Amino acid sequence: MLENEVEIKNSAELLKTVEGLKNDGYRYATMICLKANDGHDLIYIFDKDYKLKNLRYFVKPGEKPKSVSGIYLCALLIENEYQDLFGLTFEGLAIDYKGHLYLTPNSPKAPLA
Amino acid sequence: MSLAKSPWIIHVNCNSCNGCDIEVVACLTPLYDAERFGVLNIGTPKQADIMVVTGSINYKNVNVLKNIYNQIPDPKVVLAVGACASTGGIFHGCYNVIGGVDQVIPVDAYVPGCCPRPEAILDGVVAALSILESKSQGKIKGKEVKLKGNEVPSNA
Amino acid sequence: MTTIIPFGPQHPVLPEPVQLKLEIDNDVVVGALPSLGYVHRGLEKFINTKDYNQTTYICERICGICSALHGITYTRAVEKLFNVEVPERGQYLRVITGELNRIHSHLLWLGLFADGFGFESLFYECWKYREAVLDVLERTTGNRVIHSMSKVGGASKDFTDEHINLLLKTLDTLEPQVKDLERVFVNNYTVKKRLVGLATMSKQLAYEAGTAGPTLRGSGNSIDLRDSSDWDIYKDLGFKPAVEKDGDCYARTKVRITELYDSIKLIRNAISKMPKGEIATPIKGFPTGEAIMRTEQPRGEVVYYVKGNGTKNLERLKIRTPTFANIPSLLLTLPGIKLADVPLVVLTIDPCISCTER
Repeated sequence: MLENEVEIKNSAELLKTVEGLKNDGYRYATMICLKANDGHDLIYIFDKDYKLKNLRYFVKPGEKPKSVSGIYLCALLIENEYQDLFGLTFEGLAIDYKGHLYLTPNSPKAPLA
Repeated sequence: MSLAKSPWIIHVNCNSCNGCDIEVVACLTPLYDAERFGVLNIGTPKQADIMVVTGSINYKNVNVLKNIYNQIPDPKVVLAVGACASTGGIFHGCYNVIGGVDQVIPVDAYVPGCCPRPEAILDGVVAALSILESKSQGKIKGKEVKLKGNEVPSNA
Repeated sequence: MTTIIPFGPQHPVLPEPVQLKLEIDNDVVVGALPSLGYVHRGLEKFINTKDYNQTTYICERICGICSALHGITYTRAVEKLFNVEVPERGQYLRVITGELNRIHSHLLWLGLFADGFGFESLFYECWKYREAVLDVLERTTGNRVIHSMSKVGGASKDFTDEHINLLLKTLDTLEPQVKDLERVFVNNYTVKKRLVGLATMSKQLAYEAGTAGPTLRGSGNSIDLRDSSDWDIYKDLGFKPAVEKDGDCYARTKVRITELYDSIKLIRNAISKMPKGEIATPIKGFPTGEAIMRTEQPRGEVVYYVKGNGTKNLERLKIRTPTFANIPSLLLTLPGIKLADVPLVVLTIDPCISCTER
């Protein structure tokens, strides 16, 4: 458990919270993906005045999480990275590399982290 | 004769951590001054004689490397700088690392080290010069490198 | 009608392979799409096979330019898991190595940048001055590029008095040399003509685009992790972030030059305050729990996430490097730029692709 962490239940709540954080002047730092209970844990990290705020969101197996790149454009690279490395599919990505940001059709396949 | 007096090099960064790259560039700057051997760093492969490769090969850059190698006119010499370019180095065993440069193109000289010192790289370049000389006298032609098939598709 | 021009992966200006697909309309860029993956190795998976001490060496080889600060950030993150306090001398040794690393990185960048706008003698000048810094690093840590100064628990090597004298002497000669460089970069007519007003980012835009480091501070945001309470030691050394308001390529260059002076000052202060004593705390056991650690690298803030599960291997290591945060800003600044200026704009974020892709 990280400091200053908030649990998010569903994707609608996620988008709403992220939108709210942007209006509060938070900066998008990064997102972390972990394998957990057959699914994946996504930890969104935001920064304001050197203080971090973390949102934890559990992605059920087979679920397609919503992309936040519509709110923070800079989220697109990290979300594309997890499409490559974890085989996730983010819905509504600003630029979708379709799992070929780093990998070629010949490379090893996900999961790679 | 004249070729070994003014070899032009092209520097290709494959999968390197930048450590070897900055040492290769440091060789060309005033303190180590590779230009005293007539060495000139050139941007285009079509005018180059020596290919300096740093870093190992991954599934995406293997085509780039092969493409640049095929564009260099004969006689040509390939110099693998650093542990990664020689064998894969510390990254040997990563899922996206195929191995050293010699898995894809023929390598004439290796410079070991992580990172090799500029003196070592200069030694490697000088060693490459004599190979270049003998290649030009023997009129040895480098073979066009084709991929074995399973590394990477052409549209990568 | 627009044309697509591939910029890279093999390009004389780029020291590293990255590709930008530039959509050109009559010499003006209208769109850019970065294509990555030429330096992807897969280190975040690779560390599962190494123990947490060996991972230090892997992290240092993520990037050869900011290698020291990668090692320092990783070890600080693992120390947070162990909840250990590093002896003060160890901390100061880390700061000195980190700031030396920043000086060499910024001089390197200034040189490459000068080469980017065709000022080759300036490029050689910068790299000549940089060699003195590398000599100090080699004398004190044992290697020119990969320093391995930090280990879990503290510093791995101590400085002798001889080292410190050499360091102070080098800084004394370096300072006037930086002044020389500053004169050219800041005042030269040709340089200003190329840089002023190029690729301007407003304060708001740079903040919302999630940029980091000199790219962020060049746009008037006073955000530098050395100023935060994350690493108290910088507070004692009297650190103030370098900020420029204009947000163009010229401002970003000025930030980096100011940071060179700052780093020189920080090292001098650190040497005068460095206490005698132990340099490392012994560590026992295996890490558990999760932690986030951030440090200001030459290119901006780096975020390390580590998760241990009580075995010798870490369960997860995730690294967000500064260039990873700065690349999306290129999508916003490149449209409207002339094709001939694209290399300059790409260079001003100080791209480090091997960091980005790991």
